[in-house]
Amino acid sequence: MKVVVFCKSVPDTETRVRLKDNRLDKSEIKYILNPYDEYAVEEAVRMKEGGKAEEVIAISMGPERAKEALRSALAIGADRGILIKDDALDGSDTYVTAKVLVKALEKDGLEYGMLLFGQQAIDGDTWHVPGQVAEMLGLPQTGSIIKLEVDPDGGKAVANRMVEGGEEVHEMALPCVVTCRKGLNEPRYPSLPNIMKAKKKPIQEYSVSDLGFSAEDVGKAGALTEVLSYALPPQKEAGKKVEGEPEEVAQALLQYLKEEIKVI
Amino acid sequence: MIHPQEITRHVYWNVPPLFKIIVYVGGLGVIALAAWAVYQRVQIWKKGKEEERKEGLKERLIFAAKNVFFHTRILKDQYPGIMHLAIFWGFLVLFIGTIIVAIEADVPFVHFYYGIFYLLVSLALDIAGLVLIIGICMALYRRLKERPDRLKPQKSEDLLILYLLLAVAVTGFLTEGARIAAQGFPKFEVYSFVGFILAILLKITGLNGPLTHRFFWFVHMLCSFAFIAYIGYSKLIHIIVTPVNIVFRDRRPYGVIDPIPDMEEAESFGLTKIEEFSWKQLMDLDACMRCGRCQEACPAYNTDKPLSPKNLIQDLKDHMNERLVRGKNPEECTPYQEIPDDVIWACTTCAACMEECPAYIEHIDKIVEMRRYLSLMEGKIPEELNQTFRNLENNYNPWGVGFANRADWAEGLDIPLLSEKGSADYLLWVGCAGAYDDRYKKVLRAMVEILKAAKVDFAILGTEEKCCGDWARRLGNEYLFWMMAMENVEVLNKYGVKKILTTCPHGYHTLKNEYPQFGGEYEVIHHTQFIVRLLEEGKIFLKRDLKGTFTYHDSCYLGRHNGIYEEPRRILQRVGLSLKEMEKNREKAFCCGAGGGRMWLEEKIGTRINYMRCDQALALNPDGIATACPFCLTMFDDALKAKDKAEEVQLKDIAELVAEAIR
Repeated sequence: MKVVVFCKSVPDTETRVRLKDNRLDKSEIKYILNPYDEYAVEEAVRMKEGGKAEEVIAISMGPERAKEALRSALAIGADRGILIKDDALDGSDTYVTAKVLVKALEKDGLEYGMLLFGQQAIDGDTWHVPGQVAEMLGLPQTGSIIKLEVDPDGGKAVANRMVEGGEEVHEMALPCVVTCRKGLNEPRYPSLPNIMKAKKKPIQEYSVSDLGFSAEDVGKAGALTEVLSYALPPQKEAGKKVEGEPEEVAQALLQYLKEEIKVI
Repeated sequence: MIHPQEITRHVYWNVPPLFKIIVYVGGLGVIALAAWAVYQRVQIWKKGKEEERKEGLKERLIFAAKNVFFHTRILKDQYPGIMHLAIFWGFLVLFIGTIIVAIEADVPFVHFYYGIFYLLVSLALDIAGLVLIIGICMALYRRLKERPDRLKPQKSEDLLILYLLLAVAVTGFLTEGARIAAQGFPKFEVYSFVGFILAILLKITGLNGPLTHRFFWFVHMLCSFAFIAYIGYSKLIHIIVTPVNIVFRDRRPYGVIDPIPDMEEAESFGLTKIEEFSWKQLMDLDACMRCGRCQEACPAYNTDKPLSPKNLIQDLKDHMNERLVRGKNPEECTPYQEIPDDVIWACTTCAACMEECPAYIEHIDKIVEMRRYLSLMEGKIPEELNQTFRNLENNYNPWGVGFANRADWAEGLDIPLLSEKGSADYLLWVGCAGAYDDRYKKVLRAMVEILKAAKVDFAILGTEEKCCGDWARRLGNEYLFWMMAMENVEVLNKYGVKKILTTCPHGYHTLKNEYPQFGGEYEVIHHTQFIVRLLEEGKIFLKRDLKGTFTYHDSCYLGRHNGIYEEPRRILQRVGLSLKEMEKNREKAFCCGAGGGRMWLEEKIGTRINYMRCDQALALNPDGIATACPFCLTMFDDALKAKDKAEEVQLKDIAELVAEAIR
């Protein structure tokens, strides 16, 4: 069975987010492999190590820097990478992304048994792509799992996902789509020989035209959604401290809730 | 009046020809046996990697000679020091005496062992014999009665050697006494005073015939031969190996780590098999006599961690013998089978062990080699390190705060950036703690205040500065360290930086002693050195005296690693504080527990090192504790809070105290 892991290059969690010309200012950003995708890669590599997968393929759509994210996945233990890279992809929304990824899988002729995603990408935070890909391929899917048992010979996978007050257990026929989150595993720190080996593992690149799309199918032109504007969240203000006798404090608090926040 | 020629003794008097043959054949035999053993050890060391240790051979020899003949380091621990000195000199003088006798007996036409010379040699040898016996008795008392923890576990050879040596000395005296008695007490033999007294005793007991002499002579010969034969096959080999080991010691500051050559091409990293140690690192293992001084000084051992530097070296030695003598292959036998990970991660690289070791064994580089294997090859790192390494990789600091925020601490302080200013007399190396740790930012602000007061022309790198990588290197992640070092050196060289000021001893050590490995040659100055200079040259003026009694905690990387002990103390006294020393101070200082990357590891085993050190400080009832290192400051801060003493006892960096005094 071959396992595909979808990887995204995202700004590091500690990035100081700044806006420029109604877009993200990308000048001082360090990009990393989306942390949720790391759980997916780790799980896929463990499947391979456990003899349940024969090949792990990391796939990404993104600019040149997305190669670094793929290299991180390859260092954890994925066997090869696929990168869809094209200037025309700039401005794509999640629908276009899913469409392109699906086409790339097709183009590669992959006979996959499982598709693994991180449950969300920490930059856009839409949670869209896994569901869209599953929908386009007509595959069963479940999300935010914390445990996964795969039975390639039996052609099924059992996944546990957290729900309020307990766990849901889903059984799916293979191939299927699963999204991963913290708690599923502890991603390893790649060894240096593996980091070095990752530099030599193959990454197949496709352009938009390689996949049979035209420029109008992708990017802003092909998108179903449009970002109207970006805004930073309002700066947190310092808290207010009310001091005095209990009656006074209660009075002041009431007044504050009525007049300033207007919740009462 | 006797003729001087008659004041002598005939070597081999009363010894039958057969015995003489045994002396020559047996003597040569046991010497060959010892030499063969040493030769075999040399062959084993040669299986290690190349390493240059020969530069400055003359100074090396002088240094080793000082240590051997004057016991400079051994004497730092009094009782065992004197004990070993007695055995050493007693043995050495008797050895010289034996050579004199051999020359007299065996070199044709040479005859000098008579008259005054004979008397002086006789006297010297008897004194030496007594000194030797005293030393052996001290050793026996220690091993049988006192039994200090550091000598455990005791091996059978430990006592066997002492008994053998004692037998050699005692039978030597008895032989002498029996000879004097059998020769009818020549008057001049009173110079052999011990022998003379024994002769009288033998006469009283009636054992004064030539047969008694012959018996003791024979037993003495057997004991001596047994001793020589045993040299090569017991820890007695240290007589030869340890002085040689001192000659080839690492002359750099403690804990300077060597880079991995051709990292991008290398296939294995760190110590996968023992032959990957250099010949000198292997020799180190043979130089260890299990004296346990390292263990006694080790902060990890003293807080019940599984690490004992002594046991580590011994385990590596056993492993070396397994692999290189008995020839087991690496699959069956790796060092990691005997040495658990917890041992390897427990070290704070404080170099207390190296400071103590009379054989000048180098522990830190071995531990780092083993950590390299765990970090780089196996990825078998303590769980919490996973994130810390990623933080360094992504944001160039261990805390993982965004790298773009590195200069935030300096906002509003009007500190020029090197990128704006182009050049400055001094680059202030802020370091990760200075940039991101709220408590330590205050130290940086104090330092800036001092520099401004002294009108020093300085600048910072701002967001162009990255972690120096000290802790990553010492945790075995040479790859991350290498990335940090390369990028920092590139920036520093781009601006042509010549002089660097640091507040962090780890940055100081790394930039000063390790960045030259990557083409970064700078004059690096620690803030305590710089402030002393400013004070003594009158560049800053104290406006008031501070009051109170402080104790100063030596940072390992400032003190033991780089010999900066007095500067911080001079500063404390200058600002008017009275200084009280902890029992373990200067080169004997006890680590805070944060070195060697331990700052970023949880301390799950045993008690906490920083609590122990804090207790040592609190025992003095000081008004305050002064430090000169961000890690030490954090460790004391935690300990004082845990002990509920943070309100009572001040905790300050040297720079903060000076800033207070010039305000």
